Amino acid sequence: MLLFLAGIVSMDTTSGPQALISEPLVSCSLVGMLLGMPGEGLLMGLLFQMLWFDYMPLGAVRLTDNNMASFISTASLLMAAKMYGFEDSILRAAILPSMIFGIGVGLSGLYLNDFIRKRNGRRSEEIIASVEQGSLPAIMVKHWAGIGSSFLKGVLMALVFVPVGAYICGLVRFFPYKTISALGIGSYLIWGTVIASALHFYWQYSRKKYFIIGSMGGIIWLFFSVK
Amino acid sequence: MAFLFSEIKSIGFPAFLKVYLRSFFAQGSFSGKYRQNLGFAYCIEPAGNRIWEEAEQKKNFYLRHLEYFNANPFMFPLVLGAVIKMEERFRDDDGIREEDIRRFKLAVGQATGSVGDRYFWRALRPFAIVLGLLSAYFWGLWGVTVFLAVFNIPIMYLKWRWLLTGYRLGPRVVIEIKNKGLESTVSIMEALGSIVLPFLTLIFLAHPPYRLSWVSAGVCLLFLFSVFLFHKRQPPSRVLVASAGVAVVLGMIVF
Repeated sequence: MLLFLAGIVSMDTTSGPQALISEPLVSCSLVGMLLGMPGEGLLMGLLFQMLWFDYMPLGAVRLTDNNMASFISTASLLMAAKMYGFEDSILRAAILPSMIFGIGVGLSGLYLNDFIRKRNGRRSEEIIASVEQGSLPAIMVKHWAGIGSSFLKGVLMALVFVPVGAYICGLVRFFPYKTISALGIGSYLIWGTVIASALHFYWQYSRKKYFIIGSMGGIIWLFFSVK
Repeated sequence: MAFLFSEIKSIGFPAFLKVYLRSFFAQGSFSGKYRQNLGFAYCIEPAGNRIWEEAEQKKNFYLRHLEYFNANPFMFPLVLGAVIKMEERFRDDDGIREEDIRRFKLAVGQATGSVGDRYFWRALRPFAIVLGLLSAYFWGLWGVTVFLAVFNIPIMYLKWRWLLTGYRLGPRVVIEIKNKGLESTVSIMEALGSIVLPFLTLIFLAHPPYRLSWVSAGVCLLFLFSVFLFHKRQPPSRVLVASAGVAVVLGMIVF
């Protein structure tokens, strides 16, 4: 089921239907539900979603595969938690290593995407040649071969990277207590970065007065909620 | 509704529905060299089979649509609808030449690229994320449903509407690309997103454990550090690695 979901995430990112099932908020929550840890899945989804707020999976742009990175990081973390029976403190400490691991996964996704696109280009050339020769092509088959390649890419990435990621996350339990605590605190502090990423997006593209209005609303909320 | 059944009669509702459904997979075989050529041919195929009957005509039809093509995937149906109309007019010798279809596809595809990216990737997606985050804060996993609904319901509606509008307007469809109603909706979404996100950030920071002064101070410090790096145009992955290092060092100091 996890592999199937990985295929869907990979396919949805650019191939279709681009219904944003592949976005971290959705995919990580689904992983969480699948592995019986919905709260943790949602938390990871929120972290990655805000971190990659500016991520636009445009067809024509070469970008690291952040959606697969988020999915695999979360699956690795939660799989490790299940396999090694993580306590809360170790689970929290493993968040940062799993996120860093995700960056490497995203980079490998970029190279796999390049490979798939080159293959799609060759498929286009084959089909153009066959039309020129007078045989009417099976466009649907060739097109779905491209979509299928994206799906397989996701399955393959999950098959290779989730066990590796789970093993890396599992190593955290052997760390000294002080390092585990520092990593745990770090996982709280990293919210500063993900919030900065999301706010920076609107700061760039939107009017500043809206920021002030929103901040004022937040301060008023705080005034009444914090006792 | 009357328009729906009267004007698309020549293509037929089932073929139109197929084109609509296929448009969701328009980028399926994206390539660096030809971009969405195969996707376009795949999407328009059901209509083409209705318009052209002879093998030679079909061959030329496929060759026309297997050429380089690039458009915003969400605005794809707008181009598809217009090209279907142009194909019909070309068949009926109604003032459209083969070259016109080729030129139209190239020009309008590019135009939808820039406009669509702004509508959907810069406005609707972030807006859906912000509403999803807000809902997740209050109702947990329901935030996921809210996010998906806010993004997908307008997309599904607009794609159908654009397919029909494209077909109705034909080459005059360019007037629909810069739709004033949509422009103002986009501005409202940008404004609401910019208001809700700082609000959400502040109420989130009032939540334990961030209420603790030293954790809040650490978050603020990392926030400023990250803003500095983003301002220096560093990619999020690099900012994450640097920030994770700083976060662990801060964690060690605090511990």
